[in-house]
Amino acid sequence: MAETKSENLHRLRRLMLAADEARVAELERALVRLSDRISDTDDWLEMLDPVIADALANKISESKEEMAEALAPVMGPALKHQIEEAKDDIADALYPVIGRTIRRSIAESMKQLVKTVNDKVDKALSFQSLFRKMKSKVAGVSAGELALAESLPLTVHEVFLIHKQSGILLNHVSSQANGESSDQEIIGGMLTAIRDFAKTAFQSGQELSNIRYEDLQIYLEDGRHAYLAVVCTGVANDEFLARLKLTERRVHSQFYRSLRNFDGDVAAFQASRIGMAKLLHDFGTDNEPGSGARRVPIWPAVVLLLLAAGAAFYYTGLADKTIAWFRARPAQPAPLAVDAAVLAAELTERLQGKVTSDLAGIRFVVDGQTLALEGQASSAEERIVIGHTVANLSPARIILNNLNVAAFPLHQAEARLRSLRVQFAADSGDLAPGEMHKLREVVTIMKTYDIPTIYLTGHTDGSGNEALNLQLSRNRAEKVRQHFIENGIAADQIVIAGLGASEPLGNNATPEGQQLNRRVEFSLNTKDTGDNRDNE
Amino acid sequence: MSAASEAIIYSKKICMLGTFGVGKTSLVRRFVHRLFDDTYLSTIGVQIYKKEIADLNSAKGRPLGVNLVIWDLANIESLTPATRTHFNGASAAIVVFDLTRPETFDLKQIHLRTFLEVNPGAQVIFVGNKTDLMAEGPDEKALVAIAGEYDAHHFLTSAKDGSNVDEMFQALAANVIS
Repeated sequence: MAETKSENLHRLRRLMLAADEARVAELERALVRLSDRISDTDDWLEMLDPVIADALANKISESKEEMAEALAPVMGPALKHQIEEAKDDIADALYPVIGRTIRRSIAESMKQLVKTVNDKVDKALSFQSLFRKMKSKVAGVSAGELALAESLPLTVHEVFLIHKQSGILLNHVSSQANGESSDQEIIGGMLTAIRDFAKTAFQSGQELSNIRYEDLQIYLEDGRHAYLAVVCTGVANDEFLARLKLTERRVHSQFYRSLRNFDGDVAAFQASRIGMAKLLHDFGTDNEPGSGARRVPIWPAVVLLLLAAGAAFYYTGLADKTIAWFRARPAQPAPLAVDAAVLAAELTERLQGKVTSDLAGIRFVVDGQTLALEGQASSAEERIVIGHTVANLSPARIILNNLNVAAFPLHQAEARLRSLRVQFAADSGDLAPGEMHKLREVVTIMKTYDIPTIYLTGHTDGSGNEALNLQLSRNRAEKVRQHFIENGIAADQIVIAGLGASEPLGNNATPEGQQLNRRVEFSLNTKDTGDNRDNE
Repeated sequence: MSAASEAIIYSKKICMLGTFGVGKTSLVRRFVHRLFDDTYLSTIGVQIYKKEIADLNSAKGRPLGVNLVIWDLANIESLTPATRTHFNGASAAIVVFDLTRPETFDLKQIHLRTFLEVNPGAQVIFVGNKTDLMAEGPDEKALVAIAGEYDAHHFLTSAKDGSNVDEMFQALAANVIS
């Protein structure tokens, strides 16, 4: 009976609670599923994905500023982090956008260019156009090319003169009023590092001549000890490139010694500013077509005048003759006619016995209108003498003196000093004719090799008494010492001695031997001098 | 300003030599910009800094100054032709060692000999950096030995707290124009 009662209660309970129990079980399962998803980040993202874009879009449309303010602090670091983590992914993602942006930018620039060219073409009957057509016929360049060059006029913004080896900035001019800053020094160094890198990395042996950066171009004109770097916009024409080269050559010609012996004293190049500023002025912003300087409205009068002159010119038949003359005229001046063998012979004839340089080893290289000298001179003074002599002998208007001054090792320099005996007139402290260049060479060697002390030993021939000869030999050494002091050698670097006739080189019985004995000798070593010495 | 009182300013190129992480860049940044950055940033190629030092001493009654154009070279261990060209025309080298890492004292790795071949007569200063990390005081024996070998000055510095950095560059500036 009791069992029956219990069963009935169970049945009643099932009937009444079955639906609720099933719902509770279902809720428990759902809770477990939800709990699992909360702990799984990927699942969260999957859940939010369909709605997050809409939510952000709604929020941004409601309040852009609030969103920007909220995201700003994390955007920078987030981007930086992501770029560091996945550079390639970022590049892949941005590539299509950047490509489009660049294309759009180029399209805008081209549109502007086309508009400018169209404006030029529209003015086809203008005086400028007629002039361009004439210029095109004479120069053999298409009118379109000239129009394009005029549309992108060259403007020089900055000029740097940079020491080639160290990268130290020697001088700088800028079109900007506040163009001077400490960054220029760093630019000089970086340009040199880039040039050196390009030269060594590609092992081309060629110097970098052009660097482009956005719409800026840097033209690099290489010289022996320094180079010019010119920052400009627009299209460089032949005139500009020729002027650039000429400016570099002038700098080298004017400052050759300072460049070769550069010790960090940039003040020595102050005067190079003039040529650099001229380049900036002639190709600078003041000379852009359309600038104020060219807008003086005198052209109508000039056109009328030219039309009148042109009519007379045409009807008198002069036009045909002139055009024929222009066509027959060579576009470029004839190359320089230099016969190297003849020039070498003439140079030897002029300087034989006057210089110690190897004249036969000098080469003459013709480049357009320029004659370059290649080879070695035995001293800086002889280098100048040879350059001047060639300038007098050759028809070239520009002489590029590329002669190296021979630099020997110290022991060779010493040997050279020993060989440079200067000779004197009889019974006199005066140098024999033609001996002065030897003294100049000794001074150069001392400065080049930073020689601390030089010993001068005077000698006489065998005539006269010993006491007088001792005095005369000392006077001769003193004469040389004075010359050295006047030419920048410190007095305490010079030790002199007079040895009279005690160490003859030649036979005192002959005039030639006597002349050989009347001398002052040079040495870097105290052992080579006698005891009768001092440096007072 | 009269000619007599116009300053004579020289420009001199200086190369920073040392293996990676010894503090070359930190020393220069401390000297030039008065900054120290804890985060290590390996220099890529070459970085160039400029600092003018004025009133060094007088020459012929005129003030004397020097513009130090400092080339901070990276990856000096793997000397390439390009790295070698960065040595050209330098008046001095600052050779930096990390006092906490004895292996950085290896001169072969930093190619000092090559530097001196390219620039015979250039000045050299040896620097033991990171004294701030030496709790028991720096041991400068190795530094003194190397400096003695080259008859050169040596300095103990800390780019982090700035100690001796200015003094080191001042001494170098005086040396390169003497």
